[in-house]
Order: sequence, then structure tokens, then C-alpha cells
Amino acid sequence: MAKVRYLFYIMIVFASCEPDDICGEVNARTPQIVFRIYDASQPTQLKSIDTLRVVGAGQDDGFEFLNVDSIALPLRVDAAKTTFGFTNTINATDSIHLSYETNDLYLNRACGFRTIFSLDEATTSAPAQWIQSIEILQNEILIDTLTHVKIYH
Amino acid sequence: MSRSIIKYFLLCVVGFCYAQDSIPKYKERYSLRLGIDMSKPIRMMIEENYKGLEFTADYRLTYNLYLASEMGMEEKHVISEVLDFQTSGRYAKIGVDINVFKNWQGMENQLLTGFRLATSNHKQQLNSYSIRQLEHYWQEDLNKTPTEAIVYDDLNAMWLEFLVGVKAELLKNMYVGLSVRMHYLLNEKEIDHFDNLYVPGFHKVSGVSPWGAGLNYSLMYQFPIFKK
Repeated sequence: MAKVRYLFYIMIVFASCEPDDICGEVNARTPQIVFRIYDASQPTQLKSIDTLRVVGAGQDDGFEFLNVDSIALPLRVDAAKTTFGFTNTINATDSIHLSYETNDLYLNRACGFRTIFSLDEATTSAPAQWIQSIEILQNEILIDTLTHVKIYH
Repeated sequence: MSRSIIKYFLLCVVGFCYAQDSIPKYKERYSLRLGIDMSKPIRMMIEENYKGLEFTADYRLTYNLYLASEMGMEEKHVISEVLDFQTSGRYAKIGVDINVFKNWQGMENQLLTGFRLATSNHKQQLNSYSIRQLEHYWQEDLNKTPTEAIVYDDLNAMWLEFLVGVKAELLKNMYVGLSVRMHYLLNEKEIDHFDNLYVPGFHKVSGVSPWGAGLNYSLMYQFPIFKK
């Protein structure tokens, strides 16, 4: 009898505790596109830029990078195209156009979905100011610790 | 004289034998009880986006063992920050209840412990979802609503329930029962690129543990079948 009564209490406590639906996983997210910046005259050598400013097309705010050879940027999840303006130390600006397909993947109840991307094309607008060429290294953007696009300058 | 003494003696023996049976043994009632879970209509009144109906039944097998079953259907529409989905379907549970309460003669109240094996048949529909984007630079709409809701059909799940509860006779043959249950998910039909987030009868499925919880508040009518 007493045992059953305790079991009853335990069950009521259990039944009233539901784990909160809070997404705590940092890695459960939409990946960013990763650019690495190489030397055009020595294509295997990374060549960092002293000050690089990147602004998304139509955006007022941008990203400032100091002395970088690798940057990660967010792609639009509601479109199949994203354009960034890359401005280097001497204030020359080139636009990089990225076109891709998106695919939304389920994460879990608390975190919802994330978008992964499959790159089709990466181009610079002609005439180029300072970027010599760009090259897609990895089409599938699933995580943002790999290099996806190489920039030569 | 001696004959009449013997006659009298025999009469006494026979009388004594009858006297032994003169207190009738109490016969327990063995009944079928049918009822309805009142927690469902109450939930429908206080909770939006929920519909449910459950019938309950039990049958007394032995002195303290009951065969018990529940059958029902549920519809639940969940709108969270990141997901909008709905689940609907039916379920059936069968198991036993053990009465651990020592009644006074003629009373049939119960303090129960028991278990059920339960199965569901349901479908789930994803109406809209939200993209998790930590760097929300583009300020684009992260909520996506497919032009047609994504339907996951013909799903099923199986689980065990452990319960403790009480049943008391309020009016003649009219019982009220209350039980709390822990659910343990045994298996479920996996969905590609989605989860069973709610299972009718099981209720909310936690992504991290196989445990769930439930409550039952039944009004039951007793149909006595035989006595022994």
C-alpha cells in the first residue's frame, strides 16, 4: 500500500516535468560559405588581406576583417542567389555572385530546420578590380569548417 | 427409550452439520465495466488545437486481477517557435490491472497498479517550419511554408505503459477512476527527414528519452456478469 502511494507521487512528479524545448546545440545550424584567399602568382600560397570589407548586395552593414586569408559568410536561405561586394585595403571593390540550390533539412523539435546549399556557380563581375579569379573547391555546403570557394588575387 | 436417545443424537448431528453452513459465503461480483475518459473532453475545453476521445473497459478475471483496455483517437496541432505540425490517429491499449486494496465485504473499490501494451496508427502533417540561422545578416524570412503541407502517412508506434490509480464506486454500479501513467516507447515507424513528435495515446514524444506521461480520468458503468 505505502509503496503504491510513493509510486503514485513519483509518477505525478514525472508527469509534470517536461523538458524545455530550447535549442541548445550550437552545431545545429545553417552553414556559412567559406572563402580562402590565395596568391594569384603562386596559386598554392595563401595571401592574406590587411583590411577586407564585405557587404551583401542591398545591405547597409557589412563585415570587417583584418589580416585574413579565410572568411565565412552567410548565404540567403530564401533565394538561389547571393551577391557580396568585396572591398580590399586600397578601396577597390569586386562583386562575387553565387548561385546555388537550397535544401532544408530537419534538425529536431527544438531547433527546427537548417538549410544546406549546393553551389552551381561563383563568378566575379567584370571588369575585375583586384580579384584575378575565383574557383569552386567544394560544391556542397554542409558544414562551415571546409573551404568552398578559393579567391585568387 | 434407547431408540429415542439415538434418534435425538442423530438429529443433533444433522442439525450441527446444517448449522455449519448457515453463514453463507460472500460471493464476489465479476463484472465488465465500460467507460469514457473524461480528461479528453476537459482538455478539449481548456486546450486549443486538441481533440480526443477515449473509451475504457475492464473485466475482472480473478479476485484481484483485471483485464483492462483503452481505445481512442486524438488530434493535436502544435505551433511552436520553429515548427507548425499536426498529428491525428487512433490507438488501442491492452493490459492488466492488479488491485492491491483490501475491501470491506461487499465493496469493490480499487487501488491499482498495472501495465498496458499500446499501439497507434497515425499520420503527421508539417505545415511550416523555421530555418535556424545564427547569423541573420540578410534579415530574410526564416519561416518557410511549403505550398502544400508535407504529409507523413501510415505511421505507427508501440509502447508500454506503467500505471497507478484508484477506482471508487460513487453510485451503484457507477465508478470513477483516476490513473497516472508512464509511457515507454518501444518502437516507432521512422520518418525520413522528420520525427514522430506526437503520437496519439502516447502524447508528446521527447526527442531525447523514450519516456512519456499520461493521465486518465474515467467514468465507468459496471455490468455484473456473474458471482462466485
